[in-house]
Amino acid sequence: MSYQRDAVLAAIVAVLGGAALVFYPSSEPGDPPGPVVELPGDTPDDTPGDTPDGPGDLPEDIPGELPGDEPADPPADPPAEDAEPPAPPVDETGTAFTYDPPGELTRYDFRDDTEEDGFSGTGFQGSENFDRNYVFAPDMGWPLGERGLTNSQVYRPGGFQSVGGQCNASNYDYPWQDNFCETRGYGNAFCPSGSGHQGQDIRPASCSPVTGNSHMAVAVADGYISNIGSISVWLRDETSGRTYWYMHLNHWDNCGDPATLSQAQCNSGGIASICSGNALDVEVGDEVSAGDPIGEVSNWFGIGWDAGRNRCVWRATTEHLHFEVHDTVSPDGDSAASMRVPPYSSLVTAYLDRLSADPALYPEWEEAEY
Amino acid sequence: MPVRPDLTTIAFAALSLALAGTAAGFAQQTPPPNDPPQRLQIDPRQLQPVDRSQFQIQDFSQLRPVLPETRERDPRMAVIDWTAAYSDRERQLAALRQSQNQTANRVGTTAAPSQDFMPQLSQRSRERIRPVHMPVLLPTAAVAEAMTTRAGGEPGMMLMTRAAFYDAAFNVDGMSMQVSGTRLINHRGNAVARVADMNRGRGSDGYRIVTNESGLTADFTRYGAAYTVTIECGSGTDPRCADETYLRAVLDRLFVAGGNPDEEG
Repeated sequence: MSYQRDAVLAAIVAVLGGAALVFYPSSEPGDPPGPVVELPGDTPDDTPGDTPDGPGDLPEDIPGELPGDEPADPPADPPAEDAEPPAPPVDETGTAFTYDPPGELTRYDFRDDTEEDGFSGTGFQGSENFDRNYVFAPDMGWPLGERGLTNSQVYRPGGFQSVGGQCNASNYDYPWQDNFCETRGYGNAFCPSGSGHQGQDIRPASCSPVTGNSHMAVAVADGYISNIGSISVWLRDETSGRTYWYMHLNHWDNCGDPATLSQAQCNSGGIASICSGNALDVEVGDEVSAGDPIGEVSNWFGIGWDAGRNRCVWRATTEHLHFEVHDTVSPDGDSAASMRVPPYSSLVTAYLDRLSADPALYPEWEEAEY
Repeated sequence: MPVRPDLTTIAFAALSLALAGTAAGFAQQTPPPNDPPQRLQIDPRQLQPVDRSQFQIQDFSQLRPVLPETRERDPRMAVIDWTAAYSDRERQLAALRQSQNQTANRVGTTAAPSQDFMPQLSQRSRERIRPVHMPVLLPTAAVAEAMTTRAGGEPGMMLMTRAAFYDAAFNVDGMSMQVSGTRLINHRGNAVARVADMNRGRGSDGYRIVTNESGLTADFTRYGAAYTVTIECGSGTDPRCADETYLRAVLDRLFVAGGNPDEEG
């Protein structure tokens, strides 16, 4: 009985083995990847039968080279025929997160509903070392405690190069847009023009003047607070050594009227004399962990002397977080140089991480060679 | 009657098993024959038009998985020229001895800081500098151990140090000043065009000074390490942040406060 079973099994295996050889011709180890072969048509009708049992089932009029002509390394995990692009992840509001590519600044002029190349400037377009998707801070977290929207504060509603108010719904919707290198007079070695916006503007989950909600900025990495400037908070990343700048967080509580300040007081040291409480969640030297609160996103921009009105006034921007990544780039491998680097791809990566997105949705980037 | 296979049958069965095994090995990497029709080595995403109404990412050719191994990279350490650092420190100390009778002035007005003194660092600051494996530059304004941080913080210069970087923060009459250094290298930008880009805006003195939304930042490379000095004014009309005068005065008076060349120490 066992002989009969063995013989039957041997016959089955023989047939399968032969068939497998026909359909899966071998390739030698180390073969270069073969040419891409595109089968004609999109429908199953153009392809081999469902139960191939010999060469006769192969199509005879396939253009190009067949795998057997020049063996190719098979893909490690070939996609199914009917594979759909991975669905975009959804945020906590159930909204699908989408983003425009790095380096593409807004072209849309809300004032006359037109589009124009270079309307808001030219973004970082990549270089020999860093393509425009390059993620400078791949291990960085997301700097807000909830969803956020990266886009321009100048060229969208509420900005001085636009119309409407900052709480316009379009400002609080996806897709994200890059605004590093947006037209400014600030020096920026990564911008094609040599100057431009030095960070990324991020609106919080809602427009606080309307909703009354407060939104917190949080630490993107473990580290310490290395500086609190007049309108910025700096976080030194304990691991990478990068420094992240958070600007326009609400710095002070219990502030009086700046109009009480003289011009000299207004120009130097005046804030401390009219404000008495620290509104931030941190102080210089504090050690923080990723996710710890830093402060509330606001429109804080300090004070200034208004010559026209001859008085000291509050300065304000839109409700947003201006976020910068300060990193080191070496021109020779031996020495270090500090630079503000494009943050958008790093933020996209952090946000996709936060939303547990499909890996296929991440920006493509390559490690620069040392 | 039992079927008894002869040697030819057994050999054929063994050969078939081997062939089947080989085929199975390939089958691990390739779809089985009865799978739906294949598009060999073609990512279907490259073939499908992008429907922004359904899926708003514009260009799938720019997307690919980020591999874990490429997302974890260790920074390199810049090579430190300790000889140059020692030389500078000796020169600065000699200048200090020549001017030791002069009175130290404090930075704290719109005037440029005094040129003629060296700071006397506190014991606490010296202890914090000791483990830093790079030359620690501080401004003479750091005499300013007397300076105060903003609301409720530790008085004096806030000095935070690690083996490969440090930060010193001051508050000077409503203006914040920050000096930092690092010898970590996270990225390489050695293409000719990139080196030229990196040096855009850098003067012949090695400083690149740029304005920003609240003040000015200078960055430069010295002894192989990267340094930045930033001043930030709470008032948009503070003359110290109006141009480079004040910041350059600080840069000109940076001194080597210490550093530990012993990489093992």
